Amino acid sequence: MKLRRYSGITFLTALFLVPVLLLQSGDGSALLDALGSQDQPFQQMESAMKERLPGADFLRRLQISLKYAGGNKQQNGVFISEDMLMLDVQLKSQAIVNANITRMLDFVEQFQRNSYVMLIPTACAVQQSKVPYDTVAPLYNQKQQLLDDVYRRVSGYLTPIDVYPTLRNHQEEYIYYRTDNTTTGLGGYYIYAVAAQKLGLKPRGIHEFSVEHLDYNYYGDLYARSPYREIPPDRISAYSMSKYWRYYTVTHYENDGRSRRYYTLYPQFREVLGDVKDVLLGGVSPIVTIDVGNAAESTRQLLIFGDRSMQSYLPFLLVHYPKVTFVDTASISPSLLEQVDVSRYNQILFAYMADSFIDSDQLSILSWLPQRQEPA
Amino acid sequence: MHLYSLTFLYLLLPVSVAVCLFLPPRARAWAVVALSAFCYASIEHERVLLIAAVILADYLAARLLGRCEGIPRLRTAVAAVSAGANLALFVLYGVLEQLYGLHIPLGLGVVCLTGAGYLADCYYGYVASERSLVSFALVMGFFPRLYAGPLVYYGRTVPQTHRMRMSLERIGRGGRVFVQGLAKKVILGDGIYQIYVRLHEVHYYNAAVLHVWMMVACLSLSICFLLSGLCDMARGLGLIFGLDLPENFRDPFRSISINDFFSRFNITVNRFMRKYVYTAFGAPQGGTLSGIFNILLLSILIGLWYGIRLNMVVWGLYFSALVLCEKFLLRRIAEAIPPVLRWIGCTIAVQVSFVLFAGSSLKQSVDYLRVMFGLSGADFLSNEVLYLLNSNYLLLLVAVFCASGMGRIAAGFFRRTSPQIWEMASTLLTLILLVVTTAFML
Repeated sequence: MKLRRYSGITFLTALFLVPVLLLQSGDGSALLDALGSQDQPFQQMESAMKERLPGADFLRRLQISLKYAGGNKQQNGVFISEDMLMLDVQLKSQAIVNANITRMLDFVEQFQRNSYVMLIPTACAVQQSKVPYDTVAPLYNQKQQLLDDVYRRVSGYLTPIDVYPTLRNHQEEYIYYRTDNTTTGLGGYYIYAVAAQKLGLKPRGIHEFSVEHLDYNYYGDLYARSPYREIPPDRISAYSMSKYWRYYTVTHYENDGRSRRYYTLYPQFREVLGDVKDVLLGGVSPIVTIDVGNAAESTRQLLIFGDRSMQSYLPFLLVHYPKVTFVDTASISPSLLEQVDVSRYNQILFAYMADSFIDSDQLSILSWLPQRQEPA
Repeated sequence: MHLYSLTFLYLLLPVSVAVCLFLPPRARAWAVVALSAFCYASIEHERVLLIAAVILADYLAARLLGRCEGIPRLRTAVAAVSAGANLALFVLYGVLEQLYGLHIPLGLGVVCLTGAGYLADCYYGYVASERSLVSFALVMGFFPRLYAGPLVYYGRTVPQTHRMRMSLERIGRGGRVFVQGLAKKVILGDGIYQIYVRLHEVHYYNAAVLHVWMMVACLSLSICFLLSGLCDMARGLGLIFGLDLPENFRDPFRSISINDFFSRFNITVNRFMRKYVYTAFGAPQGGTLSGIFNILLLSILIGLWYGIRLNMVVWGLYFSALVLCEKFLLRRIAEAIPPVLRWIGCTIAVQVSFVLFAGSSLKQSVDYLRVMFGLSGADFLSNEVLYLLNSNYLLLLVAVFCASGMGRIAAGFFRRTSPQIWEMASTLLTLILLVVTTAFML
């Protein structure tokens, strides 16, 4: 009988421990704030509870580890291989791909610029052998079903830049982050090497760039989704042209009209403000313009419509251009886009990771671009 | 605020338990009714008024039945109209859901059926009408029970509401049942349902034979664990607050006959239908034809409990045919068949029935059946099946182990042979299970 009472005491202790710890840590007020919100207060409270539950990080890792031990190596849309995490990319709607292709073709027709398209396959397409149960895993064939299809459909209007074979040839190297769904600096170099040739440039050798390792302990977005503790952290590296000294002016424009400017490609203080990946070109903003002083070998200007993968290859491309403008089509507002004058640029590059291109309508925003203007 | 939310588990439940512990037993019913209304309103918002109206109407109808003892016609009319209104409301929402996708308020079926049963009991004089509206509201609308039952008989439950006894021993027992239910729902039920959804996404003409078998098995396991998990949570919370609720699932996949299956699967619903339909229509005393008719009616009504649609009618007919077959054709032969073979036969028959749950229409269910039995020329195995088996082998093994009832048998053995060790071990296991389940709720 006594023992039965103890089981009651144990259960009550476990129940009361959590609210007591919440009160002690001061998180109780955050829960009350959530409850006080006008929009679905109980759902907000549950979300707040998930964030602030004592030991939430440990419990999340426990869940991932238990599922992994049970054979489940694909969690929250992420494949967990022995030493890296890979996003499971699946086609949700062919209509999105069709819309993105149509917008690119419309753009070329409207602006008549030399345009290029480059879709960067994700790790699970290039490093297929690392996908758990790779022989039976239901992978979306990015090469055949997306890359080849898109390049075939735009041929004659845009120049395709197929980086898949090159990345595949270097799949054993550290070309994708282990915990982030994008390419590393080295992967960026291989992308650049292919892109440069298609853009009519002579790619520089990797030995011409110096490398500085900014962080050896980086955990990216995939780790946030599936924090499997056995995955080693990533190394963030910054590549710079070492042969000639260049002056860079990197200007970030935000949708609300604010802008910030750096005189280096790698403003290291950004690490203190948040993510170490924000050191690379100062992060990703709706518009990033980079002016390169001293040593550009041509007068051509490049406009890139793309996503955050540009952080990996753009530092290399800057060797060849006096000015490059990057537009993040996923986050830019119509009013900011209206300020982009396409006629100033000689080459236009559409460059996306495969998952960005198939997951969302990236390019309908381009209808806000001002009509063709004559160069001033 | 669902039963299986962190907010309920770690905020509302401790507060409610603390409040109830300090209240006198007679006042606890008020607190639990208030808790139920709060939880219900947090999920269904203004629809709490509909449930409150049903409860109030049934309460008043039962009081009226008690007052007009000497006017049989009026009693009959009141009982027929009020019980009929309960059933009509349940059917109406079911039909509107099918036709227009109308949302059925949580627990409407449980409240309507419990109310109709109560009114029938009052009418036949099995119970006296309840004087206390709070006790009545608690029996009808005890929030944890609204998800999946168990259905309760008024006469057995209401005396407990007058003096709700809370003790550490009952809290310990209730906590164990509640955590087991939560784990069943969150880890097994939801986990296996995700596998089912993934298998169900593949169109039948692309599905392999084993694909559909696995899909159906996952559906049956997930339904079983979701429903029994929710019922266990209700039973556990009932114990904590001083109410004894009946068991609703008892290892249904251990059944060796269809009758056995119905005595283990959603037990209280089946008993309810037996009491108010089968027995009320006089089937036990009737002839063969009457028996057949009542079995048909009973099975179809049990099917419709899961959803008012054609597939569920066919589900009922299918089980009627099996029950009749057992009753009239296999009664003598069954004794000679080894239990293992009877279990295999029953398991296959039950699994096949879940095709009707899986199919959105009768045609789709028939298509699935054709694939299952190799009549569509589909491959036997697919990569998808191999991948899901590899990815979820431990979850599936644990589910099969739990569904087989081995855990219950082992627990029973330890409880009998070494009760003290069992008590300590089960407390520790409950604690571990609570931590693991909380991890899966994030």
